[in-house]
Amino acid sequence: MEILIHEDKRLSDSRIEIYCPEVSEEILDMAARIRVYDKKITGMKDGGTYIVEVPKILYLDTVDKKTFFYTKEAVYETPLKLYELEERLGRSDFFRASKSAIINFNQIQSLRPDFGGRMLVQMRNGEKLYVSRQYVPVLKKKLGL
Amino acid sequence: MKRFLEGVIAWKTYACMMFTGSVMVFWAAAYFLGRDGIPLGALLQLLLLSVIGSLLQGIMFTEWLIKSMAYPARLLIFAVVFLAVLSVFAWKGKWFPAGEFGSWLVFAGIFLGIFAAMTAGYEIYFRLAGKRYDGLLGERQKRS
Repeated sequence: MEILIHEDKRLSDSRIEIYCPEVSEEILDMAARIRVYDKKITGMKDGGTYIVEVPKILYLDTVDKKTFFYTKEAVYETPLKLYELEERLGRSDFFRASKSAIINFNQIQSLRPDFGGRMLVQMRNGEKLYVSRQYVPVLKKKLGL
Repeated sequence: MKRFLEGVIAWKTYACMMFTGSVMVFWAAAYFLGRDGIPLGALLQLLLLSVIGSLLQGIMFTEWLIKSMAYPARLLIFAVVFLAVLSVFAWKGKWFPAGEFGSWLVFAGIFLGIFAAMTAGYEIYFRLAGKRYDGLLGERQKRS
């Protein structure tokens, strides 16, 4: 694989183009990784590939070793692993809520402590999620507590 | 292993808290009834009850063993099992005349009263904490 980087002062934004003989899984995975840096995630739904803006994501989770992310309108599958997304989205307002979920802090509607030291989180679409006891301090820190 | 040890440490902490609380209540009751102090046998019973009670709490109110169960069901099972444990202690420890049905009714009534008050206390605390968190959440989301 050949990688070329051209510096052009006339451009106002960076541009990445991928030329390939065919769009393989590897290429889609690579594009997905690059898009996360641009606050966008590539998601698959009903056989199609969509680009979703990160702030629109409510939360992400892993089910049967597959990673999904959820917006108010739809559920998408992504080829990226949860820990990879955590690394990159951690710079935004996302935080780890459990071993299998990451939540967008800005998409939380309300919070309530729950038994066992957990936190019950209601998202803007009405869905309820739990923040595990071990990750509650992270959320409290985000709240300024 | 680490998780297990963390669980044991948390269990010990809750058992100590329950033991301290029950000794304080027992001591206050003994004082008002004009008793000199707490007998050693009673202290040992309170210690054992605290260990069992906090273990039951850990089982019923965390996800340690029971992953998903409705909160009311957890409350009900905890109340029934803990009341049964307390009843065995009351019977074996001769807390009151075991042959008097009225004493058992008073005993169960006191337990349910304390249990209801504690449950209501937790509910109020959860609601107030929730309101505080929502206020902070709104402020933080406005800033970002």
